[in-house]
Amino acid sequence: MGQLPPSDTLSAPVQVGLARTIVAYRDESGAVPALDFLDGCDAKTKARYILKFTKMCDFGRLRGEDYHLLDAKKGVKEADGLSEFKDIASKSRILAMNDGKRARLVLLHGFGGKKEDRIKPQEILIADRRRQDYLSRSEREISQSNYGRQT
Amino acid sequence: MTTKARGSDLGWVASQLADPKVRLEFDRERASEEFVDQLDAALQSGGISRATLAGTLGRSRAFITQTLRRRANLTIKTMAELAGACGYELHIALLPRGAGTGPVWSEPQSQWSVVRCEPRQPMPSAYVLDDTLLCCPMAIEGVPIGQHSNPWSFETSCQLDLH
Repeated sequence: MGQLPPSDTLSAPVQVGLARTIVAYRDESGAVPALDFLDGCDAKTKARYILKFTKMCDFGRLRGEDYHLLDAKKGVKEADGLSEFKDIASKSRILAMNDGKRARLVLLHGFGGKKEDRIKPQEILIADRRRQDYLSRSEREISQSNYGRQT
Repeated sequence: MTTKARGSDLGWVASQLADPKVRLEFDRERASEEFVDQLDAALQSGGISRATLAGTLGRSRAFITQTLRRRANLTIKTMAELAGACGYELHIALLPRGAGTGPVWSEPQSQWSVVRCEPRQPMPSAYVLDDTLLCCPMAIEGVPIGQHSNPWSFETSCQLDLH
């Protein structure tokens, strides 16, 4: 089994398995919104998300009803590249992105009260804003560490 | 905010599993999920449609759909019926609870090659399907294994080396 990445300024570790690593986005103030949302859920909902994260980490995939890529063609274009963990019983969702450079799945935003399949554009825009912030700070960190190595 | 979990490298999942209430719910959810995943895999490998399964059991198709979507609260009797209708037996196994999530099975166990790590671990320690290590619940120190037909060996990180 792989090792959990350390907690850093960009993310907080969630789970690691043979196939994937999951972390949660951390904003510049140090808050981790997706985990704040999960912490507010009841024990049953937490348990179901733990199971989804574990299976995703161990097997690298989940059933379509539990996890899938968002379709940008069906809604706002910012949904492109985002995916969602879905918990039907609690009517909640966790939006995520793939960080290919660090080989991590990053949880960006959690929200509840979802009865229908379509996600409100506001929720996607929040996730996208966090994704842009994560990517720009990640780029900055990578270029700074490369610069440090060169000098 | 649980600053401890956020600030440490423990990970959110591990920190939540330390809560007995969440742990118990997780154990329940995992058992339910394992059964449904295995049932789903058994249906697919046996080429059995949901309609056929419903007909065999004298149940509605809606019940089968609800079951496979994990929305039905199943009794042991119903689980045994469902497994039997797919040509399988229902077995319930107790595994020692570790600090982590433990293995999560997604295939009927008859299709797994169970590799034992003896004498250190009395229980199956890794699960192999089509020469791929799928799940390893705990770190194991390198012990050559006799049970698998291939000459497997373990590393402490649970990477599998084929000689």
